[in-house]
Amino acid sequence: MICPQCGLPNLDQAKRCLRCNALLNSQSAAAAAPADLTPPRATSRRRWQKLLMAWKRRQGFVWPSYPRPDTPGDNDASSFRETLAFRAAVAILCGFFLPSWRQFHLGRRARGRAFLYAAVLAFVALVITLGTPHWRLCLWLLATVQSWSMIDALQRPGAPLGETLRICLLSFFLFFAAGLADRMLVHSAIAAAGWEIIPAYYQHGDLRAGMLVRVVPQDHYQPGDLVAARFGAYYDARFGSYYDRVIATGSHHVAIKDAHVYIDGHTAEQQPLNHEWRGMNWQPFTMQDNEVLVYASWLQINADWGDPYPDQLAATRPNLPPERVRGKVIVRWPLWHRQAMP
Amino acid sequence: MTHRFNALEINDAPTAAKPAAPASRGEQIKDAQFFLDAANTHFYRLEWEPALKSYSQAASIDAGSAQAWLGQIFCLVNLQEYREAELWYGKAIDIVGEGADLLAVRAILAARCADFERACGFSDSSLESAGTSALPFIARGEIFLYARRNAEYCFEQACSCQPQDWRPRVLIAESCLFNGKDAAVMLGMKFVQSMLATQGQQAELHLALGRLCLALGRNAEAHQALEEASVLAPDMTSVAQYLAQSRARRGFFARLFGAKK
Repeated sequence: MICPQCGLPNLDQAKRCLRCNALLNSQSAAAAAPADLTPPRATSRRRWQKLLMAWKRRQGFVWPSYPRPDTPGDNDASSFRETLAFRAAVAILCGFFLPSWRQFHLGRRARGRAFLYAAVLAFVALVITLGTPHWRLCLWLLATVQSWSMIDALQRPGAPLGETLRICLLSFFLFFAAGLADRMLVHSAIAAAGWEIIPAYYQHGDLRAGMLVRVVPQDHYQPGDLVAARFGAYYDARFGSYYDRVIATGSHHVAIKDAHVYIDGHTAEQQPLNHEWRGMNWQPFTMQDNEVLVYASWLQINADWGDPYPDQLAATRPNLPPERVRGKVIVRWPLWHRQAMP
Repeated sequence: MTHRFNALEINDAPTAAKPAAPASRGEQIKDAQFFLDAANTHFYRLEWEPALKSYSQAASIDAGSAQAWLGQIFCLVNLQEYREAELWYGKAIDIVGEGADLLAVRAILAARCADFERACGFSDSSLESAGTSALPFIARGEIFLYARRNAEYCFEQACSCQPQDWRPRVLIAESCLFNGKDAAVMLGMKFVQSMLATQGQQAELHLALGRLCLALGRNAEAHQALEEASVLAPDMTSVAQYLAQSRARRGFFARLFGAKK
């Protein structure tokens, strides 16, 4: 074959000329060789693309595993461990109790630290805001960190689109599941400590919604003590108990009129917990020696509603026999309202 | 000798450029090899644009030169023009075919684009036909740096292919510097320093050492290495910018906030 460039006769099977190294198949050389051998140059800096690439490089990657030689039972064990179900179970269990464990196990230390710090921060915020109306926000924040960590542990580079979509759907489920589980745990811890949560309608006075209190039975109560009292009969099944201030104890002549309590003809020194209470008027009555005067000020029975039913009347009567007073209310959480146990 | 052929009518390939005829006796023939040598010199001195130009001239003279195509693609990778490098790689394999070195540089390109799956594939293919070339092992080592595996072993394999050649060490240093992590930079420094012990007159090695020291915050050592490089190769233009960097880090606040060690 004659070289088209320098004319040197070459062997027929030679691909390149011995002298000038040109391709001997002139047709392919002419067809394949581009007219301009200067490479194209970039017209823009593509800064954001490069930043993204740099970030991905910093994350690194896990070297792809290659299939191992067949051994008895080995494929079944390894294939099960590689399944999404198994990885999900491990990630969920580890991610719930220690959000960053799976990241550390996979060698992603920076990510693990980030999730760990976020979880600790959310947990500390939850503990601090426990007893305030904001504790639920911190609880859902903690659930967000937990679910995010679980989902991050499940993802693997190069996964097919179907798996990625399934993981996205799983993330919604995990978020709500983590939130509900955290809430159950918090309520269980509160119940185990013997605390009670002040209901949401307590927005006034010394007791506010969300506060964690402990009810301690006492032999005697003083005016001004915060106590928990049971409703009588009709309301018991609906509300359980209520919390308010002791207005008076012992034998006194009591009158309640126009949102004022009168003890022995004088305005009582202690008033109910709700400063804006608009209670119904009570006909003057005399308390027994062992009775405690506690008015359910949150129960806004308007005088315009008309006379209450007899069972309602009995259930909300303010002079309580001792067996209806559960005990003295001691605030335990939040910390800045904490009271010493008697 | 070449003047005897000037009068002959040879039907040359229309796209292949002719090397320029020497103007006078004794002047070097500027053929493909001449431009390749010049390009390699620029390349290892980190002068990417002149290297790219010289490689392009070599490829224009000899379209079948795999080294010229390889050099062009590698220069584009080092200039971070990844899309263009990928395009040019496609053209290169059409003309010169897929060789181990081309596959290796393609693997490096994929790794720097954070496309690690492709990088692993190209690296595997290049190692299958590695031969005596060090570049496939260097590419593998760079990918191992991102996978947090034993990159040192790969780099040692690369150096053992050409034990007396300082060029693989410069490429290893470049890979480690691009990775940016302290562990990788210190690994690169280890390979460069071991070669400097026997080839202390190579300016490119001093330049590589200077850059590695700058990356680690060892300003004084960096300055010394860069000064040595500039003395050994006064025509090296790339050393000036690194010298300027080392001078800029001499201030109090630069030392306070910039120095790592």
